[in-house]
Amino acid sequence: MNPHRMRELFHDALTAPAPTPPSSTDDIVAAGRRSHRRRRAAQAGSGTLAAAAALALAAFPAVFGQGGAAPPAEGEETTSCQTPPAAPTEEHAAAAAVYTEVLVDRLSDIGGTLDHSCAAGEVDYDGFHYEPHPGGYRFDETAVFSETGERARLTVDVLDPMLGPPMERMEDLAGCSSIEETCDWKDGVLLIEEEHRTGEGETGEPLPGFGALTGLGDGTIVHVRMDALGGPGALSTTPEQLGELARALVDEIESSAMEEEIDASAPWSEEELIEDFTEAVSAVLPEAALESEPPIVFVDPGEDQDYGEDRTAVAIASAVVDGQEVELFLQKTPVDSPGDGGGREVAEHYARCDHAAACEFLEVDDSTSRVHRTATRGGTELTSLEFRAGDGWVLGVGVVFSGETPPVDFATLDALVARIG
Amino acid sequence: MTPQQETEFREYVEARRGTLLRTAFLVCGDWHRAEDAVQTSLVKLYGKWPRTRLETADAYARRIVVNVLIDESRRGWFRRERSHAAPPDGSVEAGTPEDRLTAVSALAELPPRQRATLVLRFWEDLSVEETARMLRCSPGTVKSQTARGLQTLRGLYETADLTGQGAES
Repeated sequence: MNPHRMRELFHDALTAPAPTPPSSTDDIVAAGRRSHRRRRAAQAGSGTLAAAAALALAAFPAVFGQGGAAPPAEGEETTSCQTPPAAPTEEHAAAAAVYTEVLVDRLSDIGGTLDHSCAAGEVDYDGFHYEPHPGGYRFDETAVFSETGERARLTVDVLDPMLGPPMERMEDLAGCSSIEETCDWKDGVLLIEEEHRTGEGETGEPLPGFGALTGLGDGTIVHVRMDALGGPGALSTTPEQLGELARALVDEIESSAMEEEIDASAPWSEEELIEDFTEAVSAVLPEAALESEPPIVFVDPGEDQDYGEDRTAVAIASAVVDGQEVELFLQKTPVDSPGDGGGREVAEHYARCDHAAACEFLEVDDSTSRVHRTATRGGTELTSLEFRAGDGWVLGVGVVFSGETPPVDFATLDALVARIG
Repeated sequence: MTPQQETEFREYVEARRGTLLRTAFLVCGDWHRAEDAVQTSLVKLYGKWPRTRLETADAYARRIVVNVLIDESRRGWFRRERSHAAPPDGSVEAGTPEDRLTAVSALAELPPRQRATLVLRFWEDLSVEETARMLRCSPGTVKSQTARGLQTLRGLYETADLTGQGAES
């Protein structure tokens, strides 16, 4: 069987006539309208992206200054930075964190990092923040390119949809009527090159500034600008690279919408799982003191961890059990091919037994199996992982202990994981 | 959604519904399930349409179709597995013309995810990476699913040849 033969097979399979569609395009549009209204109503007040904020915070501690602020830039003050006037909503904070993560990632691709600093009196937002007027997410930081020594002001706006032709709106935002010769449409991205906008540099020469704008079908516009600051007074970054950065944000916005759609098929929400977890600890380990501050949320364990496959997330909480400090964690991993069923090989694969010191496989029922995983990395980590083929998820509860024998054994972990989901 | 966007969505549905239906049928092997999945997918797509670029709409719609069908198979897996206490032995029974190995029955021997992988790779001509993104798994998983799917089909057709049924085309 080769790809050519495979295509023939598909053609053969399609020889049977397709039935006449029972619904018309009008029916689909009407159903779409109803569904859209229901979803908007359901989304009001919900915080489905709550974990994303924590994810970005965990992934980019340097950006957000957790555990020690980055050194201030020369000639700038950090002591007078103003804190944001109001706490963002959960939804705004989560989206802002995701956009910041994408931006930092793409900036890194072109050799840049963020200079985590602010001038005296400025509000320090640490990444994107939402501004109700005119409506959209805004980012305004200094980017540093260590290889060239260049410094630039990087501003990014993700502007809410507005009425009117988006292309004209983008040209207005770019000021193309006054700098027409520097505006250039290329593959749906408006690229801008200009000088003088940022004033005179140390050498007295005009400083360059580049920009790129692109948008989504609903009228959302992403506007990226980079203006050279002091130092060499030059910009090696091209408008095309800024265009790619803008596109990355557009892709993120689109894929976030799709992720929400697909994640909605999970049999529980992350909040429900966390609640199950804390209740299970209370029931099974009533004398354990589980830290609930900061709030327990799911985060990406990162690639250097051996917890599971893509899209694994863990929620970690400190606890004191029998007078000993431990970390308890809840792990969730979607199964790639739930239709393929379970079995020892698959369950052990998801438990990453190849990275473990020991694994024990236990069959629970026809669709559920359990793996007891022991890892030793500067301590002892025990995890009871349930492979639930019926749900299409792997859920696990684990304990991390600095010594040899944790005060929580596999039987306790089994009891905990059985209460979750 | 603006009236213009809705008009564009209608045009998209009219133009692409048949293609999506064929892909869905190849993934699930049942025209009625395929039609339901396409309809569900298009209803979902309607909500996303203002944020969907026309040039990426096909990929987006296809992804929703495939995931709807896989989610459906995921929910039904436990029930189906239990109802097939004695799984097929990998060959196709000989005898009446109805039992003759057909493309549809051969594809039906594959698990849903494996089947979807083959459809995306060889019917939709997607790359390993594109397929991985669509199925939300790693490229390695796509490669292994592809290899296993092709191997299963090869075994089925070899067995069919030996029993005199012959493979089509």
